[in-house]
Amino acid sequence: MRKKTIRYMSGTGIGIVVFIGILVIMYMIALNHPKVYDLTLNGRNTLDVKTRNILNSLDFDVNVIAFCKNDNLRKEAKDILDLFTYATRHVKYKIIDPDVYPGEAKKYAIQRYGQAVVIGNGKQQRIDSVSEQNLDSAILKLKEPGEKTIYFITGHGERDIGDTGKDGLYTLRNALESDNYKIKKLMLVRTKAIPKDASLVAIVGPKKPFLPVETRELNDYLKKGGNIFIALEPMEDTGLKGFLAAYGVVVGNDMIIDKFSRILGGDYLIPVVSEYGDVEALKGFRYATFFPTARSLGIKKPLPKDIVIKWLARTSNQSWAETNLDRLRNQGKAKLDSKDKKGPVNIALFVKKLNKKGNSRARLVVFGDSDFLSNAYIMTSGNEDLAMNCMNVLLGEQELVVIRKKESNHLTPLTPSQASLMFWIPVVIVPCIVLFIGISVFLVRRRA
Amino acid sequence: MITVEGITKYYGPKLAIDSISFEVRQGEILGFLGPNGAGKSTTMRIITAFMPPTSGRVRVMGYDTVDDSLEVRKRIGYLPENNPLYTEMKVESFLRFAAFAKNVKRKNIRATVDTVVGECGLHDVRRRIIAQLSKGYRQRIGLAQALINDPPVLVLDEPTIGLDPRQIYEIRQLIKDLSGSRSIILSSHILPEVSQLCDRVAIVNKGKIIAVDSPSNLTAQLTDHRIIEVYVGERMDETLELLKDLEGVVSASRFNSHIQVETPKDMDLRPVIAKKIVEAGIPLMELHAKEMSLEDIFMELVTEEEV
Amino acid sequence: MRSVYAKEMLIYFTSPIFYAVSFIFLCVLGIFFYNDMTYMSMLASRIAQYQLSTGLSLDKIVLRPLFSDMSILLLFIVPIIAMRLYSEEKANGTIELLFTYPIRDVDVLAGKYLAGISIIGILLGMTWVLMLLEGTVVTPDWGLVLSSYLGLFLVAASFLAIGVFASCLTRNQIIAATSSLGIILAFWAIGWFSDVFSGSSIAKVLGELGLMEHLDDFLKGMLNVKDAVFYLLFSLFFLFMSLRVLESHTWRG
Repeated sequence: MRKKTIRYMSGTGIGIVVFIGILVIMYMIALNHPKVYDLTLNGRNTLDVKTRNILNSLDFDVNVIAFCKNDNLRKEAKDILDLFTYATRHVKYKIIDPDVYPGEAKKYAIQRYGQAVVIGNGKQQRIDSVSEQNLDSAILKLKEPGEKTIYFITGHGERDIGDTGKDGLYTLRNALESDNYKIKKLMLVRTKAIPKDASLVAIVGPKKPFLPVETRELNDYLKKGGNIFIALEPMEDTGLKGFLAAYGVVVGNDMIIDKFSRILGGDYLIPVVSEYGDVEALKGFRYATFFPTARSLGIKKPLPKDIVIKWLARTSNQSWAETNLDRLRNQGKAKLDSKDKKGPVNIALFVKKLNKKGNSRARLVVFGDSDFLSNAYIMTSGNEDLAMNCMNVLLGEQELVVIRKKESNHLTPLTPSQASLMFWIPVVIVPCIVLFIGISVFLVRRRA
Repeated sequence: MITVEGITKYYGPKLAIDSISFEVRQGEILGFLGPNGAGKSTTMRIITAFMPPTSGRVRVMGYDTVDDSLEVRKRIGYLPENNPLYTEMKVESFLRFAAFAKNVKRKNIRATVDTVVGECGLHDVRRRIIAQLSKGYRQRIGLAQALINDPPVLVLDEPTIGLDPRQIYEIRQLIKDLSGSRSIILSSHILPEVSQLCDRVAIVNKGKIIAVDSPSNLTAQLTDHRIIEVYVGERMDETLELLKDLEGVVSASRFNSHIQVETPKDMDLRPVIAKKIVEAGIPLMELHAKEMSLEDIFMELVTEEEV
Repeated sequence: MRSVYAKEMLIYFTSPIFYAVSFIFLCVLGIFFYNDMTYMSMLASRIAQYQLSTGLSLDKIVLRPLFSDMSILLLFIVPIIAMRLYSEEKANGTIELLFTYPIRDVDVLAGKYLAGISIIGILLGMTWVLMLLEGTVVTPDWGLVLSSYLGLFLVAASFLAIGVFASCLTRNQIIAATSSLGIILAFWAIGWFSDVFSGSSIAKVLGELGLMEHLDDFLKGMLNVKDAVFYLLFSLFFLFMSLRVLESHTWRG
């Protein structure tokens, strides 16, 4: 009799194992044939056509590591990354807590929760937050063949990329290198022309004037479709005024005074920017940035036809550009008068020179300050992100990718009568109807 | 109709029934008689395909209860021990469910329910909730659900247990009326019930069948002793001695009011005993042979088994 | 199967437990709904006051939290709905009737399971009052509402399969309900463990096994075939196990 029981038991056991096996196989099939339908009416869970095109043409694996704590940011990152993994098998991701894995965070130069690194094609690209736009740009950058080289001009007292002191650019250099850029120094006077592999030329904080030969080299470079990033300092004559004027940029001989900065814990001389221009790279950028001692930048009127200028960053309307520099220097006093330009004052401009077909040939980003890039200030608030994003405007192709935000339904305040309906109907009336039915069923049955 | 072939059932290590074999013929009522715990309910459950035997097999109308359990279940009406019912349902809806579950055709359900309600005398309560009804009614409902698809075989496990005498009488009457061409197995531990209702009786004790036969045959077969009861007015001890010495008497013993004399079955010693007592001058009040009841047999069988 | 289904539905509708459970479910959900709506209202007036442009939508403020609360409520309620399905029959002995009627075990199970599913369907259906009520103030994304209900229905079906399984194991309804709640919570917790082992392959397997993980996409408005398949297979597994347990009464003795 035992034998029979054992036979039944083992039969059942084998049956269960086989059944589990079948279930697992079926689930694996489902896993390997991902199919996701977006049922929302506004297509909120559907990636943009442009993103899908990028992903469809992917021919290498992309790994995304997002650094989030276990909070809303993580949820949002997961939501978006999931969409990417549904769209292509090439994208894989993990979300880790930088506090739990500080080594990983350090390895990828992660400074803030929500940042992520996109790895693939032998390169890596850091993004500031996980969004469809950022992921697209990062992936596009990974796709581009070869490394891009950034030349930092030296020879006019510019800030040094190797300097780890408070005025140096070592931190910026690190950030750029972790985004796969090759960083080189270039002394203009020693070369006849800017090297052909230069994706970007950066001039940060020059103190001595540029020679005409040098500005000609810059012009030649721009004519061939070059990109230049310039960060000026107030009260320094660099000889670039004329050069920039040709591109429609008026370098103000002044110093920006910002009362609003004081409120945010800054200084009158450290204007704060919390308003950014209508450029894709800065869409959704929401950090404040600080610019210790900055000069204003104006836009020349009338502009040459082939030049397009957009402002990237400007100060609040509680600031102005003080032109009386002597008084400021000697007495430490500033006062808004008729000669001064009233805020908001442009602190960064983006310049495009178009060719005959209307495509951009030369691109420039000009800042009225270079301190914000120095080791001492770059980690302040959003400074680094702004710098990186502006360099990306010049370096990247993300101008091609514009992801429009999905419309979402609006919130409406409830009128008092609506609010009371929202309470009485679901909390009292409907449950009580159910209760009433139950009680009447009970009573009717008892009478039977 | 039902063939039980050497079924054995173990509950874990405990032997519940031990190679039981018997047969129920068409139109017959078989009584399954035994004390509590004899294995009656286990046997019923195996016959109704509720559970399989550990070994051996049961066939109902040619279908094996294990291999063709569905076919068996179609042909059996079963009243389980303790008569479990869906007590929160109304009588009628419960019977409808039973009819539906037993594959009565949709359009016939109403008629079928009406029929069993009539047969089982449930007219007055058909719209009542089962929980509110008396045990007698519940027993009828149990019978009604068993009968609902007009099965050729009925298995009734202790149908009268826990009822008052009037209800017992009614249920027995009902079972008698139902028999007709059906084969019925009825288990019980009450002797009068079985001898009254059944064509044949199977007596079980401790999982074994001790005897299967008609109630009269069983009586005849097992009564190999005749008992004579002697009532005397006085001098009982003297009478006892006297009777013990009598030739042919197996034993004699004194009870409260009378003396019981056991004699071989084929001898009738009554005239001899009467003569002897009268001769001794003892006043003989009464003398008669006692018929051995099924109850005695039952007691005897069980006692014998225990020795 | 249909006979068992009809019987179970009849018993559900005449039992106080169904009404009590519905009452509590609707009442608690109503309170959640009211809270979400007033929170939405407060945010809306604040947004209007400060002229903020936010990515906040009704779906994020009201619907997603509401549906995820609903899934938690179902987690507690479905075991109570499921507990009686087999345990009651075992305790009353009516299982003997059911198993000697000419109905296959599979059909009995299917009838009972579908009855439970219908009760869940009715519960979820009653919550549409909230959707309609919300529709009077703002327009929810009906696609998202639909997919959320689909997900809730599937996850509740999985809870029910666990509940049926637990009900097969015991004649005591309280034990059935608590043990099914235990199993459900265990499968819920598995999801959290996948966070602990974040990144490893164990995490992946655990993440796929977690019951609630598969609900996320539904509540976001997506029908992910993989998740739907998971819930169906999950239910199928516990129904299969229930059959094996029921079958074992024939050989366990």
